[in-house]
Amino acid sequence: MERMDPDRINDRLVPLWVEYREACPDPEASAGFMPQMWQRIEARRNAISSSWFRVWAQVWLATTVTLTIVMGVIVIPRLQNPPAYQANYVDVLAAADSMADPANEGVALPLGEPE
Amino acid sequence: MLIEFELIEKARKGDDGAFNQVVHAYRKRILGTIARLIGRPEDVEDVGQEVFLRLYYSLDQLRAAEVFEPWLYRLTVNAAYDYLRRQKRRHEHRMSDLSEQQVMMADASAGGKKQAEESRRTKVREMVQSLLDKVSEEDRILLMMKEVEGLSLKELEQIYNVNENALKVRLFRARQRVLKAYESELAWTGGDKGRKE
Repeated sequence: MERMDPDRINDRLVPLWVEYREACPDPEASAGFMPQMWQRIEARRNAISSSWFRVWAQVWLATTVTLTIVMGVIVIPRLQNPPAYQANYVDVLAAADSMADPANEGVALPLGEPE
Repeated sequence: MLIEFELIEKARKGDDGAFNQVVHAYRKRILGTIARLIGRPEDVEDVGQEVFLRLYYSLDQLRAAEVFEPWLYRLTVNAAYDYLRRQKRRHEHRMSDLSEQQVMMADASAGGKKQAEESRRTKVREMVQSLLDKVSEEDRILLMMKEVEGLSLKELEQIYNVNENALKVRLFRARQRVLKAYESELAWTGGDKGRKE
């Protein structure tokens, strides 16, 4: 682009800007301007709060699902198999015998063999 | 400043009444700026509401009440950019709107109610808008803010976040482009007159 003299640019354009400024006065806002603006502010506020609620709900949902899986896989199976049921029948019988007969106190019977 | 700093502080702390007063004080000026930036009177209020909406939700980011006006102008410039970009995408739609406008203007002229002064103003508006249509959106908005809105280079620095020298260069180039368009417009109009005579 060829270089122009800044003074020449200003001499030509400044009157045009002034005239344009005069030809475009600041308009008055209509009666609906403020109510509509507040409506838009409220609408945005609701959108923001509902999106926060959505995020919050998603976090809770994810936590609930995780806890359900943990309970289903780890906690419930443990509760269903208490240690008392893990001993075999002979162990339980021997323990009951030793408690019932004081003469056998201190005598260890070989487990699993008939008397 | 059109308002006290305390009012801005109150609005920043969430006082809706104070915010309402801020909008009342600035809306006329901002609507005028938007009208000149976008050149479409029917959309001025919509863009103006968008500016104040953005102001409402960004006031807490304002670091000091002293920089409120550049902040508000920055929001105005951004909203105008967004509008002009949207309009560019709807160019065909806009052309049909313009023809509707032209029909309305022709109707008004036919009625003979238009005063000479208003007619001259309309011509000036159309002339400047057509010149500004020949430069980029960035140049258009920068020139408007400097030449028509009368913002200083310091204020423009705060709005654009660039240094003064870079702004001067951009302004000079933008003025050059507009002057070139203006002179070719004048040459064309003169030539047209010559042909008629």
